[in-house]
Amino acid sequence: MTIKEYNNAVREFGDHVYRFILRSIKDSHRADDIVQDTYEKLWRCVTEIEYGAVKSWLFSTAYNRMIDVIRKDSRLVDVEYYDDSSLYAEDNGSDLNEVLHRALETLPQAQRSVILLRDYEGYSYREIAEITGLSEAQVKTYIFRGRVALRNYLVKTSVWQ
Amino acid sequence: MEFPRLTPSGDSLPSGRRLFRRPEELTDDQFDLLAAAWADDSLRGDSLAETEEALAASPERRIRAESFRKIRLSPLNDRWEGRNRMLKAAPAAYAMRRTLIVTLTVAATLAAMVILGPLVTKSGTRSAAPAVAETEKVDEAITIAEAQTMSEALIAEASPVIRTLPAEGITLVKQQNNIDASVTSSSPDAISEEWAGSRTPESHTSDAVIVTMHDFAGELPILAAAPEASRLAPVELKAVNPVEAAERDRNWIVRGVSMLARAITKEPESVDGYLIANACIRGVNRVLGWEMELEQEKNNEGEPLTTNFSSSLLTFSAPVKKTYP
Repeated sequence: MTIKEYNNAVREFGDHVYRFILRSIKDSHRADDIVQDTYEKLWRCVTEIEYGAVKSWLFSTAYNRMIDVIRKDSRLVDVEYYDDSSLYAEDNGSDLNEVLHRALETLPQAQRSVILLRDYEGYSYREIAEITGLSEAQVKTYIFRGRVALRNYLVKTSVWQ
Repeated sequence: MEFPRLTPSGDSLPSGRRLFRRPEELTDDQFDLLAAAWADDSLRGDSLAETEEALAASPERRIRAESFRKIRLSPLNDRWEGRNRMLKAAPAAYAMRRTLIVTLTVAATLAAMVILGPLVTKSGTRSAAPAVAETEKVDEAITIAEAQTMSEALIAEASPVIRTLPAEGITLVKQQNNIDASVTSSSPDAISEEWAGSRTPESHTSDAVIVTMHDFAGELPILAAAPEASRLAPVELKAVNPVEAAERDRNWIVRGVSMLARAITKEPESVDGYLIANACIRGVNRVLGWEMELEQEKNNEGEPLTTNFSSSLLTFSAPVKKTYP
């Protein structure tokens, strides 16, 4: 990858990676640090990565870095033992997308990340599996469970009747 | 050799018929997961066919399944503020920036040399005065009479040569307060008298007296042969051209830049060192954002008196060296 391609990767994918991490981790400062670390890492191995694969590389590296940060902060919530009782609160937001983003924050981190990759970036299950290191079946399960949880949030907060 | 094989018996599950399920029997939670997959277009083959069959059988479930298609997140207006910090300069831009920095550094150095050059020259001239005075203290042990006696003896030995010494063109140069006073002597005796007279304590007080002998030194064996000749140093006789001397005294950088400027601008006037330094400093200030100042104080007649320089690292005020009387 050339320097020009690297700069293109910064311009083209920087916001994408940032908002993926931001919505996953819900902390703008940490998201900024994670994305900067990701691009620093990309710059160190700029000659080894093809431009065609750089987007998934960025997401994968940023995701793994985010997992490290979460584990370091002991904030990781185990999906299997996640308590969804806090999911449903009164939400009078009028914009469905904003309500969905508020609902997204109530999901476990793994479900949140795979749904973001699916909806924001349009990645396939296989690509999401490569980025996150999960199996394809796990990715599907997380996405479908996440969608059901989002729908339940909308119904129980009276956004949907 | 053949081994005996077991053959399955004809037993069958008695309640097997009751275990069969139909799509309508899916619970809501099961259906939601299936509907989420259907809405995500991830069902293929038999799975898709069965789900379509279930949706066709129940309009309520179709509506419920259709609702999953609306659960799609769109990116909000999240902008990464640190994006520009991660952009890297291309090699050409990097090299150009580096060249610019080097050029500016050289310009700043030149400006400093132009500014400090006259100051250094002036301080060097000042430091020469005590050295000459010290030499004169040593020479005071030699009386004028002894010097004259010795000179007469030496003149007697080398009289044929000295008599042929051309009177014209020999110039005794006394440099006092940066003002050249030329005295043309008509004979070697006059030179001796003049020199002896100038070495009296009354004739030179605090100012340095520099007698130079240059072009005619080889024609003066009296001075070359005399053991005290070294005590007369620095001695140099030369023909003085005031314009050339003034040009030589100018800072070599200023001369070089002036020549370059004349070659470029085709203008006969030389570039003033102050103008060059001021332009350099302004350029550095503009590019690097520094706040260096250079200003020149002038008297009522418009003649420069002092040059003042101030920056965060260095501040000084240097009197302007007047090269031309």
